[in-house]
Amino acid sequence: MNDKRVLDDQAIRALLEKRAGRPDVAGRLATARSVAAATSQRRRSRSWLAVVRSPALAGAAGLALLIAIVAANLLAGGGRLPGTGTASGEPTIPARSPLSSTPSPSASPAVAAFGASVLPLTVTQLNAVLGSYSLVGRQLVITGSIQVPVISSHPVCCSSGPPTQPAAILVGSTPLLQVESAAPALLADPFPFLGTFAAKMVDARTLDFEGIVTTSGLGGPIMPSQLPASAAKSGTDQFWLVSGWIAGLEADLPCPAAPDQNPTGPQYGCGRNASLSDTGSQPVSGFELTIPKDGVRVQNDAYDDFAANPEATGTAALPEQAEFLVRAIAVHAAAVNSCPSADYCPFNQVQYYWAVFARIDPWPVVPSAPSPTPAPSFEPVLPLTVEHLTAALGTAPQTLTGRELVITGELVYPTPVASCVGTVSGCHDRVVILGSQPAVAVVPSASTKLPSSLPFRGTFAATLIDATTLQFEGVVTTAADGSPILPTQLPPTWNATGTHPYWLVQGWIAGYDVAVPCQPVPSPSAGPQYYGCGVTSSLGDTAAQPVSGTTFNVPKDGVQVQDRAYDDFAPSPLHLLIGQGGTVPELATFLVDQNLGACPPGIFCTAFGGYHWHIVTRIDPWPDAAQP
Amino acid sequence: MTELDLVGRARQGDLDAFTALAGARLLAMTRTATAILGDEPEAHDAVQEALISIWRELPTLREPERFDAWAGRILVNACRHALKRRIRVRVREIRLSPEPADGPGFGDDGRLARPAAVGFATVAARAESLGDDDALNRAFERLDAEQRTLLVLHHLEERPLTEIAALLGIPIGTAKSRLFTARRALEIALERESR
Repeated sequence: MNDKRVLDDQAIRALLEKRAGRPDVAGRLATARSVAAATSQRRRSRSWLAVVRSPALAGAAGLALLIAIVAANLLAGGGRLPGTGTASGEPTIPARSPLSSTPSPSASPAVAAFGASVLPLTVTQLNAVLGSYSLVGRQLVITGSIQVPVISSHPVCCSSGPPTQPAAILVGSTPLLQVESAAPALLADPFPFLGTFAAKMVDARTLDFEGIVTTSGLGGPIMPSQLPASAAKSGTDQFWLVSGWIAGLEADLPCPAAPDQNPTGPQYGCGRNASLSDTGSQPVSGFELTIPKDGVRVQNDAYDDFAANPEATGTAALPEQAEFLVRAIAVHAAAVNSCPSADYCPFNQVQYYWAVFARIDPWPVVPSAPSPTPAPSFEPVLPLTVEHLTAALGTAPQTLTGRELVITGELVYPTPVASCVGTVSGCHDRVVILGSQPAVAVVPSASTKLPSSLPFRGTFAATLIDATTLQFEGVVTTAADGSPILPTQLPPTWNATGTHPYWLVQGWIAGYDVAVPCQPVPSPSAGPQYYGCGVTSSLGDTAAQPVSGTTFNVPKDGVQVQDRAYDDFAPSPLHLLIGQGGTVPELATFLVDQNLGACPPGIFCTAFGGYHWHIVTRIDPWPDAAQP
Repeated sequence: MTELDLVGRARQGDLDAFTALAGARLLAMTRTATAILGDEPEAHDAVQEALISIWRELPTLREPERFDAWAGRILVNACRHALKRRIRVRVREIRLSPEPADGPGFGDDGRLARPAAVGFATVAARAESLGDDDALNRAFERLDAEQRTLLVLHHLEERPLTEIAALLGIPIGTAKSRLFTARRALEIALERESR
């Protein structure tokens, strides 16, 4: 017995190669081309409006068409479609022809487990998906709030607000999505709208609102049998989120004759009838589709247009389960002229049908965002003492070079004055910090002056230029014990002039996590801006959230600071993922001054002279060697 | 012009683009159909049927970049239809000799050693003893449409499992297990044909 030869891959491949052979395809391509030329491609716009009312009529129609096709083929001389001959000489017909009407034995009802329902996206989920995928052009079902932004009523320079109604937005979306509608009436007031709606992403920042979506009580899809008994009882601008089995004819339901007008829009009747039902039973038998008792008729071609994997056996499509947006549509029978038979035009007024508007595919899976790193326990950053400054400069001066330092000490003229080279007046610039070793000189900048009265003892801000030179920035106001003050301890902005230019403040910084759109600002000023729109920020005593929906309210225990301050100075900017439009307030110590003139003249600057609090920098903890 | 361009133009009704697409696949499609059906004229019809379906349904193709898998799926469906239409021809089974009493799966030491390999080596040897590969061919004819398709896609077209799964619309794991089942079915069929 020869046991060397086994049924391995090579044996199978050899068999299949032998079976495949080298078939002669000469002339086949030309035949395929000629048959294709005689075959119209299937388009979405289907034939004319008609409703087949009886199986007998459908059968008669099919027979008539069969006779017509056979006669045409015989007249053409081939008795078959071009190039479709078989060895036996029998004609073959393309599978989707009405003639191949015998359902395959395998056309049994599809049985598939229901997958998890596609639920409407929350704004948080939408944000997560938008962070990873482009949804432009995709049909969405969203549960959220649509509002028109309300700018802060806090009396700041821009309290007059944009004079025109800004665009509606999806609250909490990141990036902020404007909501528009091709049918503006759908998006009419009153706002805010809170609920589930259908929309399509027009571009990365715009949603096209399509209508309100009705869901089950639990927010999920309903079953087809739960649709209103009559489509006429549903408004045509009302969508229903439906989970069901879509099925239909996979051969055109023949009609005896076509009217001379080809209407547009969904069709119901001749063509590929389709149904949507609770269960996956097969509604097609031969050329007839019987609407399941637990289902509804939907527009022709719905199966081909919306089934995920259209497959057919004979004339029957294999039912597929999915989630769909369904709505009622009005069909004007009177718009169809020249109906060949009253059977096909049984009505002369508006009829309502259910139509599948879109299939809702499962949303992309987005990896869950890592949990934010818990903020370390916060210790206020105290001003440096001379001892700590000396220690830091002695060990690692580079760690402080270029930093904005807040120092409590005494500025004096050097002793002896002999260290000063030049005139006495020139020696005024050679001020040193008393007790610093080696002596650290403090020099004014182009825009600042040293304290007019020396010696000066107090807290001041300065930038370390090199290991022995500080550039003086200004005197800093602190609490009596030298620690930072709270935001509520800041004076009113209009009373703050003429005092020390800086304040050391410990507070919670917060703000919008998205830029609230507003009317373009005429001639916007350079530097910090406080227009009340954009990315407004605040600094407060507590972690109160200043953002509610699209409204920014400066905390009662805080002050408004310049736009974008949160993103610029929060220790680790964290944006809320709960769809509320705000950021996660963070606690830090800041050097604050006033800003004047951010608002240009005009409607945006009407109050309080344009003075605002301005965060100059965040004061980070000093190096270990310098810790007070 | 890329294939995607051709698909796009063919979707718009460009017959030349469709002809180019069809021409690039005609021989491979015919070989696949012939391997599955085992009958060249029948394969020509299946290919013709598939090409017309492709032409007709192109405007409804949702993902043009997946044209190849989509077209392959249509061809496979056409072959399935052809098989279902076919009147089954019963194969007269010929038993050459009785099964050895000790069974083919036992080695000289009396233990069950390489049961499958020993068994099929014996079967293959018997098939060869018929003088040609008719037994293997008849065994293949015993397989159903899906099993034939899987074996052809894997062993003849040498498509990776991911493509096979996509083409058949089934998960990769399912494709893998069904491919195994198909191969096992061929082995069993070969064993029967060789008796």
